[in-house]
Amino acid sequence: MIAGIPGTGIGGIYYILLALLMPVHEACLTVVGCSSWRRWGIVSMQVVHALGILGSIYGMGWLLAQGINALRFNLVAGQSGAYIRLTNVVATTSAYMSVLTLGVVLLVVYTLRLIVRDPQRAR
Amino acid sequence: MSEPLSQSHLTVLVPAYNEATTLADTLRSLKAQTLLPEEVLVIDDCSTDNTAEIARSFGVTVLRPPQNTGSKAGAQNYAMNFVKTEFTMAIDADTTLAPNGIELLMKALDDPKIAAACGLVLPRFVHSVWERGRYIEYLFAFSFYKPIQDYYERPMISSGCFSVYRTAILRANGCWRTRTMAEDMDLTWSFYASHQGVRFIPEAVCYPVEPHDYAFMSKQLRRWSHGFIQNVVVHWRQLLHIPFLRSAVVVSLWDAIFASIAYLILLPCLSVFVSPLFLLGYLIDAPAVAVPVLIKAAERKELGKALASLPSFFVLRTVNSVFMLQAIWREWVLRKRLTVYEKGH
Repeated sequence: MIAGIPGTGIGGIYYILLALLMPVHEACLTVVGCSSWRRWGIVSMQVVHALGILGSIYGMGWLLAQGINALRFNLVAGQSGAYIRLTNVVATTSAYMSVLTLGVVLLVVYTLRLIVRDPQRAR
Repeated sequence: MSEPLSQSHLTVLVPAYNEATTLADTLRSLKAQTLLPEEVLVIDDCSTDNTAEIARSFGVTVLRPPQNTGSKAGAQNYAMNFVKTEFTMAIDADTTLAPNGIELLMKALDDPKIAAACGLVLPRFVHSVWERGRYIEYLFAFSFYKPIQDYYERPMISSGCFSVYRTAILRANGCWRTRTMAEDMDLTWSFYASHQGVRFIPEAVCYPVEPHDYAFMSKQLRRWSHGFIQNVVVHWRQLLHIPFLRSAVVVSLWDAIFASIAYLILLPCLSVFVSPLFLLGYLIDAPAVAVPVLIKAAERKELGKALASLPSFFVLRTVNSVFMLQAIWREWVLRKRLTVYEKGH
């Protein structure tokens, strides 16, 4: 089974960040002799996925901005100075909001962890 | 072809309720493994079709509880009384395995810290919109999310359709508890709470039959969404103290609530009252979803199938949102727990 709804919201950003942290983590393991070529292969693949996703999000945002700009340009009959041209819809709005939301959600979880006792230890 | 290995110290459990149409393929794939199990136990959960006869024709042991156990977990627990081997594997009666599936999965248990291991899941048939949506969902989740979870040593679920366990640890954790609709998630999180490890082995592939129509899919989505919420309720205190899993679960839960609200309420309202352009919100992340999906599909030489199936993912995701919100509303607000296990593959 699968938990929740994969491929949505802050989950995407969360896993991209984790994937981008993998080389740093693996480099630390390499220093202490706990890494392998196989592990680096997995890390590389996930970094490729993460960079590909970031690139596609940026590309989609840019494409949408061009579409919206063209639509507005036609609506104001060619008066290009009458509105602010968008450069990237996603990068300027939802990406920042997602990262901010993710940060707040994770902060709440870590705070809760300090407040709520571990039932295993309580025994 | 090399001789099949023996000495697996493994019992395979195949819970089956009216599985006459799919069981033969499952048992055939078990017989064709490069590492053969010591015993295969088919639990005929009081089927009304010829499930038991089909199982017997393959020479496996058939167990029949005195009455229907009511769930897959119940049938598996019944069979645990008959398991004598060090390792136990659970396979759904509609699931076939790649010929080296068992051998690859068993290697994960060479590490004594590992209590359970699961493999890559891909739908066997990819025809209807539901099967296609699930195919993309699995390609995405099993090629992007799950390897990352495994890297940080916390796969969120050891999938019930194809997982192997250390029998003693499985018993110590109460086997498959029936307190939630997602016994595999319950068991996986229980392992972590008792400091046991779980691994995801992407090379070990299984092929379940996924729901082909809305009637079956709705049963599965209802069970999975309620199961997820029920497990959060049961485990939340322990979850907070399990590194990585706590953040992975809370992020999934957040998206289950707020992405569902966005798809079902926010985007339709914005598109009606502000601009129809907001309808693009349903598809805005299509290229992002496509990246890991197409990389994995290319690796499996299934690029055409993946491209043709991609639109179905967005249909399934929107329908899934309805079931998630419904589950949250019923379990948390109305306090009406889903307790009846409805089979939907």
